[in-house]
Amino acid sequence: MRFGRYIVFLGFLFIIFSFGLLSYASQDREKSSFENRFLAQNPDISLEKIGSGEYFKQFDTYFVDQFYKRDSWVKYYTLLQMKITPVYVNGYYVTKDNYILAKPDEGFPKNEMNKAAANVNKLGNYLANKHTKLYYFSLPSKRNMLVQSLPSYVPKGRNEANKDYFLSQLNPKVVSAVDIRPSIEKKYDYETIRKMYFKTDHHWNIKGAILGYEKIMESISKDFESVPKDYQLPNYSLSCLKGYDFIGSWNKQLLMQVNAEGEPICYYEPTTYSFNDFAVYKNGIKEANKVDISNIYARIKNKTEKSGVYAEVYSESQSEFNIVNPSSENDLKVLVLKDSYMNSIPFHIAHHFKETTYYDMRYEPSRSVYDYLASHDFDIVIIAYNDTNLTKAMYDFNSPSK
Amino acid sequence: MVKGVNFVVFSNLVFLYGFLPIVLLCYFIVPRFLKNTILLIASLIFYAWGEPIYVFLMLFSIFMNYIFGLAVSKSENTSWKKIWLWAAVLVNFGILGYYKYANFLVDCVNGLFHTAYVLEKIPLPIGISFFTFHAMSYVIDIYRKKVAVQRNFLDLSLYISLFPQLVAGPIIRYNTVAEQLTKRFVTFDLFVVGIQRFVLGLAKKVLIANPLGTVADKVFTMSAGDLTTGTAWIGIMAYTLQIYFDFSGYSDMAIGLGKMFGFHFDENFRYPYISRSISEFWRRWHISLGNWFRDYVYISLGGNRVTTWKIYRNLLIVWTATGFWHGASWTFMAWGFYYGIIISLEKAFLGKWLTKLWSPLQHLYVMLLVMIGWVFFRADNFAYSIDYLKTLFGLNGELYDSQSILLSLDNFWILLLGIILSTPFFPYLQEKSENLSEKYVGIRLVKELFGSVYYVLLLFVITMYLVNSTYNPFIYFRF
Repeated sequence: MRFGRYIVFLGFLFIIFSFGLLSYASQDREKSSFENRFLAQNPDISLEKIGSGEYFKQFDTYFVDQFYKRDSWVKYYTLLQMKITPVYVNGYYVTKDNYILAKPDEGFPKNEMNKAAANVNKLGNYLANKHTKLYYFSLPSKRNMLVQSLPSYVPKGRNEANKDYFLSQLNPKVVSAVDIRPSIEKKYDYETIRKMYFKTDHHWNIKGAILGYEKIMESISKDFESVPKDYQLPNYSLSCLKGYDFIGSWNKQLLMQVNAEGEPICYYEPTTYSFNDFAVYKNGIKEANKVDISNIYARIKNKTEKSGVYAEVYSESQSEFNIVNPSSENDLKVLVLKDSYMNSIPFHIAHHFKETTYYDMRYEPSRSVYDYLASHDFDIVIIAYNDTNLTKAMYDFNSPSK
Repeated sequence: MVKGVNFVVFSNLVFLYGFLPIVLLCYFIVPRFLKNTILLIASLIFYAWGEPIYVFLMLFSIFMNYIFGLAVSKSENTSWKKIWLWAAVLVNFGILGYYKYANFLVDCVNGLFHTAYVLEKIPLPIGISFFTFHAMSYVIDIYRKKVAVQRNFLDLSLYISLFPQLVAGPIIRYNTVAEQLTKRFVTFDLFVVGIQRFVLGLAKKVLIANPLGTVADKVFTMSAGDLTTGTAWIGIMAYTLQIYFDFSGYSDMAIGLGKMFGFHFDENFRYPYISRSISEFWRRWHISLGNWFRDYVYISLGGNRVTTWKIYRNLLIVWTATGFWHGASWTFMAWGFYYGIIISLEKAFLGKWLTKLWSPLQHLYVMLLVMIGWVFFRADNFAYSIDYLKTLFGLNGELYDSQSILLSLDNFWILLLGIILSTPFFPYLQEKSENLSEKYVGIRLVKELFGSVYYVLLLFVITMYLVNSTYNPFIYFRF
């Protein structure tokens, strides 16, 4: 009656042979939507690569990337961890009301922050010589702002302290640095602040972004009289899409295991002007580059499937796009060096200037920021990064993106 | 892309779902006279996958020891036998010494004599400590006339390079497998037992050792000033369990794989954490290494058949060498020497005192000393080890902080599981269920069913963990 042996024998061989064969036989995937990256493909073989061991490493990567039903395996792992791990799963904590929170940063990368701040100061000096004003806006990240929602016994990390340190290293003579967070915390309680962030994504939603926009324009309009002061909330009306599903970036890390049903996708649209009044250009301002606003902003509305990520809800990060406001009350030209936090309010900002250039260094492999500045003149340069973005490549204004 | 992961370990998708099925298929379809050839080719590919250049070093080592074995065997004159033996020892340890210890020796010379010699970092070929010891045991056993020389070069190559035990042991003595190289049979039951052993070993490594390793790594990379007593204890507990499950899991996998191909390897771990003395601990931990040093170093130095002070001298030499075998640094030597002292003390008088102690205190004695030893083993340097130990015993830092609470909550179940499974609880359960199933048919049926499905489910869970370990999301792309 020892049938168990047969189960072990057949089960083991069936699994190792079938998954091996299926992995080999199934079509290779190009990308993983969950991991947000390209997957390794079957490497070319050569004697040189075999001799150096490079072929074997590449084959290993290819095999694991193309393993049969890879995403499903990770999904079940995530589900299991969510059942057995009380705090962090894949580095994320899920609150009872389905907010996904990331583990706070605990390190203090002092040298790297010093280097980044020095680069900002250097840029400030360069721009000052060109009579261009430099602003640095620190936008309150969800990772930092909602740290209170973590369990009381969990270390709250050093995000806020790191940001304060970084800002203290900026030279006020050449950089006007503004920390957006205090102005929001002064006006709103924590529960209201929570609602300014997507539950399952790492970004703020339009409710948070519009307050960031208000503060940015309040700061700039103090220094530039010609900048219109109609940035306050009553100048915008809130509208939300119905029947759409939001795909949060952090939910993707958890293989969409958190229920994000009902997460609103909303916009603040102007009441005194229209975004359609602007001319939008992908890359330089040339007729050939002119695109419709729907090409840049709120592309989710044009999708057949009613679901989208932050980049489709608002705008996608790209190397350069320009917004020209023909009805501008001034002739100001503004360069915005940004990360994805600014993707929700590009047109709101652009309303206040003649030309607004959005430049995301991460996607510009052919030129550095200095190269760009050398061939363009701006009245104002804005650096607007979320407050966990304090080091490394996005402060390397001398180099193109790698 | 995920950085290239190397499949020269068994807990790897390429090994499990690529290499192993192909080798099993080839092995069982070829006629008997080709089976060793298949295993040899598979073993060389296995090694070359991780070390495409150093596979030639291993082949060179095999060839040299083949020649030395023949030379020792053929020499009729005892002096010549000894000369060939010493030649083998020098060449083998020369190769091991160069790749593993040369950089360390240069650093020592520079430190002692204030010189500034520079030696470019020499890469350490995987498994060199193991295959060198395998080869040494072969030649020494020929010299001691414990085994006949192996004239078949392929069979000797197979013994030294056999992939189940090549990179992480157990250290298989030639005399235990000599006959099996040419005469072995794989029965259905043996193959199934091999699968079960392999899967259990894989589970130990992937489901217990790896997660606990993450905890240990996190704690041991914290600066001493940031540690609290609570965090330090969680870190050392995690490491104590990680190293046991990692190493014993790997041995289980090696033994299981061996069985699948008809080989019987000796046990390498026998629940060392239930020991009641350090001497007993080392009879249960990495048994093959302890036996190797006992038989080839301790006994060669005279063993117990010398004057009393020399016995202790021999013990200290052997244990320091054991520590040094683990790694080229003073911390490893100190770790070995530490055990040499304790074992000497137990031999002298402490062992007798221990036997009179209440059993739980004996266990506590062992666990405390072992964990203290692991601090030196794991830490990067002495200074950190001392600071860590001070914090462990409440002489530094706070008692606990939010990090301690988070680590204990997040890892409570895995720590508990690790503690339970590091005792013979599982075999105890198996024995009880075996007794019950002999009495009751129903229980036998349930045991057969669940006892077997368990292994299949375990393999699924292991695969899930392995796939997830390669999960490498890039959050900010195109946002």
